[in-house]
Formats: sequence, C-alpha cells, structure tokens
Amino acid sequence: MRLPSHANPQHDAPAASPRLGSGPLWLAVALVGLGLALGLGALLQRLARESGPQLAPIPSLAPATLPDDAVHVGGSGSCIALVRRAVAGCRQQGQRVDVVIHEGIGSGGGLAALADGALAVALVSRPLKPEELKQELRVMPYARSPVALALQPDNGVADLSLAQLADLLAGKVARWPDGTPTQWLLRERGDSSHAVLRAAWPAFAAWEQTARQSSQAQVLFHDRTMHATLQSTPGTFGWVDAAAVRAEGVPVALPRIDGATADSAGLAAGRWPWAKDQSAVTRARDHAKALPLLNCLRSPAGRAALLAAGALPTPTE
Amino acid sequence: MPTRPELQPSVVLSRRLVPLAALAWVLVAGVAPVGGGLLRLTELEDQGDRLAQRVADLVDRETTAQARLWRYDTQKLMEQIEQLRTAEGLPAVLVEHAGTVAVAVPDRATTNLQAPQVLWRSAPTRGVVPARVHVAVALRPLWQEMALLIAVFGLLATVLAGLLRWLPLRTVRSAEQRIRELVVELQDSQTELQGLAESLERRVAERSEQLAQTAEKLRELTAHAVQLQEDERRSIARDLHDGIGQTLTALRLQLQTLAAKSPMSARPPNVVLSLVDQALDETRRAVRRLAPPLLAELGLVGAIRQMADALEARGALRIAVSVDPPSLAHAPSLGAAVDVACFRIVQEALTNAARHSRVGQVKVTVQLREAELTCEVADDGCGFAPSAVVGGQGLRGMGERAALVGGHLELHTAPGQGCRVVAHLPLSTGERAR
Ligand SMILES: Nc1ncnc2c1ncn2[C@@H]1O[C@H](COP(=O)(O)OP(=O)(O)OP(=O)(O)O)[C@@H](O)[C@H]1O
Ligand SMILES: [Mg+2]
Repeated sequence: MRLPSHANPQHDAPAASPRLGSGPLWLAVALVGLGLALGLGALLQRLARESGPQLAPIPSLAPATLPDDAVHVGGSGSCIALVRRAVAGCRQQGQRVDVVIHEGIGSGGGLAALADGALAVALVSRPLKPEELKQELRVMPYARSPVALALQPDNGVADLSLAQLADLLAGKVARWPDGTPTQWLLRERGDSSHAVLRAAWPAFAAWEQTARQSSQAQVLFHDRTMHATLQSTPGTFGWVDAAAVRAEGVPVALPRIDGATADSAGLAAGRWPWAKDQSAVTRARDHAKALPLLNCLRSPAGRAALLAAGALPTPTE
Repeated sequence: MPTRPELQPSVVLSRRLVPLAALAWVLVAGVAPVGGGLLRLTELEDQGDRLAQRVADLVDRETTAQARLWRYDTQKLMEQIEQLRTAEGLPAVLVEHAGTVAVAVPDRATTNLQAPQVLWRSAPTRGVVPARVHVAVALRPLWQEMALLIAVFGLLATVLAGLLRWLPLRTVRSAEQRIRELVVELQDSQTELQGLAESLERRVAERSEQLAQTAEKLRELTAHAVQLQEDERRSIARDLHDGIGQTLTALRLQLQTLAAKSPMSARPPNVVLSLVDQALDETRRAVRRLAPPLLAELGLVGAIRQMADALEARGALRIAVSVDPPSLAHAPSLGAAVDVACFRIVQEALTNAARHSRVGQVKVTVQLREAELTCEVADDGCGFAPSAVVGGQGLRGMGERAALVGGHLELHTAPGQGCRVVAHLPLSTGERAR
C-alpha cells in the first residue's frame, strides 16, 4: 500500500508561469522612465526658451531731441514749483517769459540735459559737483528755500522744539495730539532736502541711516508723490521744501521749530536752521536765450512771488 | 519528494518583485524631483513675470510725465527698480530701450547672468516710451531644491523598494520553511504508515495461507468422510446382499421346493412367494441405492451413462449425456468425494426430472475445467418456483453434497421455463495435480 502523492502535480503547476508577470511591470518601468525623461526634457526646454537680452554694454543714451524754438527749462522738482510761481507772477505783470518748464528730473538730470543741449536752463537745488563745474556754465542763484517738517493740519501740531523733533525721529512719539499714529516718510537718498538735513543735523543723519535699513522704509522718489502721500495718508510726516509746498498749495502743516517759522522771515532772521540754495544754470553759449527767465526771477514781480512762497530771494548785486 | 530549486515560490516571487521594486523606485525617486522641479520652475517664472510687469508699469509711470527727459532721470528710476528687485530678491533687472540697456540693476559686470545660473523673463512697456523689461531669475533655488528632492526621495525610494522586495520575501521564506518542516513530518508519518501497511499485508497473507491450508484440510477430511461413508454403505450393501439377500434367495428356493413337494392344499399360498420376491426386490434395490454399483468399476462418466440407460429403459425419459473434454470419460477417478457428489447430484436431478418435469428430454453435461468439475442436468419441462418448494429433501441434499466438497449448486428454473441444475465442484489440490 502506498499513499497517493498529490504533491507533484501541484508542484508542477506554477512551473509554466514564473516569468509571466514581469513583462508588463518592466513595460511600466520603461513608460514611467520615459515620462520622467519627457518631464525633465520639458523642464530643460523651458529653461532654454528665454535667453537673456542680447544687448550692447550700456552706452550713453542718445540725447533727447526737443523742438528748438522754445526755451526749455528743467531740473530739481522743488525749484520747478517755485520758478513756475515766479514766471506766473512776472506774466501777470505783463512780462514776456517764453519758456517751457518740464516736470522735475532732479538737479543732476537737469545738468545732464543741459550738457546735452536738451535744456537751455537747468534749475538746481544743491551745490554743483566739481565734475559738473568743469563745463563752461554760468550759475545764477536766485533764492534760498527752507527745508521743513510737513504733516497733516488735522494732527494739531503747530509748534515743536528741536528736542521734540529729535524724540519724534527716535520713535518716542507714537501718536499725534489728535490720536493718529505717527508714521515717517523718506525721500530717495539723492534728495536735496535730505542732503541739507543730513549735513546740518547729525541726529537726522543717524536717524536716516537706520530708517533706510528698516523694513517699513517707504521711499518716495518725487516731490509730487511725497506731497500726495502726506495729504492722503493720516499720521504721516516727512521733510519737504517749504517754498515748493507753498508754491503748489499743498494743504500740509509746517510747524514752527523752537518758535521759528519755515519762511523767508525765519530764514532772514537766521533762526530757521535748514535751507537750500536754488540756482539757474545755463551754458555760456546760449546764456542769452535764458535771459527772459533769469530776468523774471530777478524782477520785483518774480521776487515777490518767491517771497510769497516763503523763499528768500537772493539779493541782487 | 523532488524539489526543483528554480520553482521555489520565494525565488519566483523574488524575480517578480524586482520589476515591481524598480517601478516603485523610479516612481518615487523620479516623479518628485521632476514634478517638484517643474512646479518650482513655474513659481520662479511667475515671480520673474510679476517683477517684469511691475517694473514695466513703473517705467510707464515714470516716463508718462517725462516722455523726452526721462533719460536724464534714470538714477531715480534705477533706485525704484532696485527697491522692487530687492523686495523680490532677484539678481538683475534690465530695461531695454531702442536696442540698448537704458537701466540696469545691478551692474551687469558683477553678476553672472549666464544660462545655467539664471532664467530670463521679460515684459513690454505699454506707455509713451517703448521699452522692454528683462528680469533675471536665479535658478540656484531650483537646482538646490531638485538636488534635495533627488537626495531625499532617492533615499526614500531605495528604502521603499527594499521593503517592497524584502517584506513579502521574508513572509514567503518563512512559509516555505514551515512547509519544508511539514513535508518532512509528512514523509516521516508516511514511512511509518507504509511500515504498518506492510506488516498488515504480511499478516493478512499469513492468515490467508493458514485459512487455505485449513480449508484444504477440511476438504480432505470431508473427502475422507465421504469415502468412509461410501465404504460403510458398501459394507452395509454387501451385508444386505450377502446376508438378507442370500437368506431371502435361500428362503425362496426353500419355498419353491416346498411348494413342489407339498400337496396342493398344504402349499404355501402364492402370496407368500410374491412377498418374498418383493422383499428380495426391495433388498436388491436398497443395495443398489446404497452402493452405486458401477462407480468404482466404470468411473464417474461410465456410471452416469449406466444410470441414464437404466432410467431410459425404465420409463419414457430420453437422456443425452455429453462429456467435455471427451477424454474425461476414460479419466481416472477425480477423488471419491467429488465422484460421489457428482454422481449423486446427477442421480437426484434425473430422478426429479423423471418425476416432476413431465417431459421426456433431459440433457446431462459433465465438464472438467482446470480445478473444477461442473455437472449440469437440464430439462425443458414445466419448471417450478423455488420459493414455493416445501418439504422436498432432494434439492437440499444436492446443495449439501456440493457444499461438502467445497462447491456450490445453482438452480435455474421458473414455472414454464424448464429446470437446469448446475453443480460446481472444486477439485482438491491432490486431484488438481493429477
Ligand atoms: N425437473 C423438475 N421439473 C419440475 N419440477 C421439479 C423438478 N425438480 C423438482 N421439482 C419440484 O421441486 C419439488 C422438490 O423436489 P425435491 O427433489 O426436493 O423433492 P421431491 O422430489 O418431491 O421428493 P424427494 O425428497 O424424494 O426427492 C418437487 O416436489 C417438484 O415439485
Ligand atoms: Mg426429488
């Protein structure tokens, strides 16, 4: 007697199919590999799609071309506001002042445009640099304008001591008397008002340095944006050309400092601490073209307009 | 049990798991870096586009008021662009105007702005001054992220693929180990069972052998008993014949002599004589029945033929006797027991046919095959229903005689179907050899 051995047939059964399952799997591996290769290809292709701009190294830009028949005036934004008022004053008095006054491009921009011949008169609100002086230029100072702290009239600040101002900059004053939180505004580094303060007041220079590195630094690049922001955003304060503000009729308050006012009187008395000198610069060869404007600025009507804006006209020799 | 190593489930599984593990590896290791890279690239592109658009808007704003003189005020533009650029943390912004770079932040010379390091995106201005803003997006974060993803997911994929291959294999291997143990156990118990079976077979064979010997002995004893019985009968018959027979014969002779000598009146009546005759006749018949006279002298076939002839002579029965093989007719005795059993069975069957079948034709067949003698008596008479038989001794006796020599009796009959009696009588070993 012998036990039936069931083991053998069962053992033989899977013999036929040990490799059967592998094929589709390898196919799947190949497909996935192909998909990945395609994805990588797509990635690299997207990287290569946009090549960098094929440009020549920075040349000096071609000079601007302006119609020749007019006398083009341009330069520092704060000068332009004041000069516009003066020209308007002169014209009211019947003077002919045929000039085209462009929007502000900064003192440096004005001098560069003057050098290119794009402008006949460059209005600058800072002392000229030695390299700018190399050209054959004629510089005519016409006014001194106060640099002042501006804030919203609603904040209820009319008088400040220099010590209070220092506290304000140091962040010790969180709210204005009306309860609005204080918030400072900065101009770009090259702004002439900031340059004046920096030079005259070490506390400001220190504050400016930290303020520029602060994460809440909000830098404004134009007089117009500075003025607009001061008007529209409650609690803001910043440094402006007082004469330009008045000339443009911007509704901001310019508080007295230690009792001094940011106007010609304060400047004349020597009590207002910060001021900048404004000049009209011409090239020697077309100085004549600029004479109507220069004459206006030195005329009584012009000077009256400058005074009205709070600037101190440069005394005529 | 033969095991082919290449068919072990763990080996098959191990082979099958290789592509599966490979698939898992490729999927995990590849999809994340490529997908993550594509996503990151899209993010960087968006960032570049965003800055380019903002700078283009700025340029538009700045140049709207100064369509001609803006170029003298690029310092401020540059500062403002620089502010935006620093906020986004991108390496460079160029403003292209009239085929030259009008504003560049920061200085081009100090930054590597070549292809693998940066990606360039651009946006056009829409204001009065036509210009195009180009923004360089550093690709370092992309490469770093992809490298990190490749490292992390490569490691993860390797671990995963390893587990995917190792875990099922471990399970199957332990199952295989268990199966091997079970197989060994099974083999052990099978061997044990086989041993038991063999000893059982041996014992059965021994018992069968003993049984056969016993049966043979029994048959020999039976034969001997029959032989003894026959001898006894013959002796009784001889006694009857020589004793009562001779006496009755002598008595008859005496009665005849007495009758011849006596006067008519003193003669014993005829009825006495006929009674004596009758007694003599019965005695003769008893003698004949007790000892079939011819079995010893004529042999089985001869005796059957003799008996058939006698029966034919006595009545209306016609009996055909056939022998197979024909040599059997001259063969020596098949052993007293078988001879007697066969003769007696045929005798009784023929008697029954004569008495009950109500026909005249009967066929007797004696056949010798190997180890068995078959005798068959068949008539085509009225037949009968064996279950309805009551009381008759003949049928039972035939069966018993057959059984005594180790054979058996078959009765094939039904009402109206004739009757066929077949006796199968095995020859004892001694007779078989002859
Ligand atoms: N060849 C036959 N044809 C028809 N009927 C038969 C035949 N043989 C036997 N039988 C029936 O079977 C019955 C039983 O037969 P069995 O030989 O046992 O007894 P029996 O012949 O009646 O008496 P005995 O005991 O004297 O032999 C018979 O009575 C008869 O009815
Ligand atoms: Mg009978």
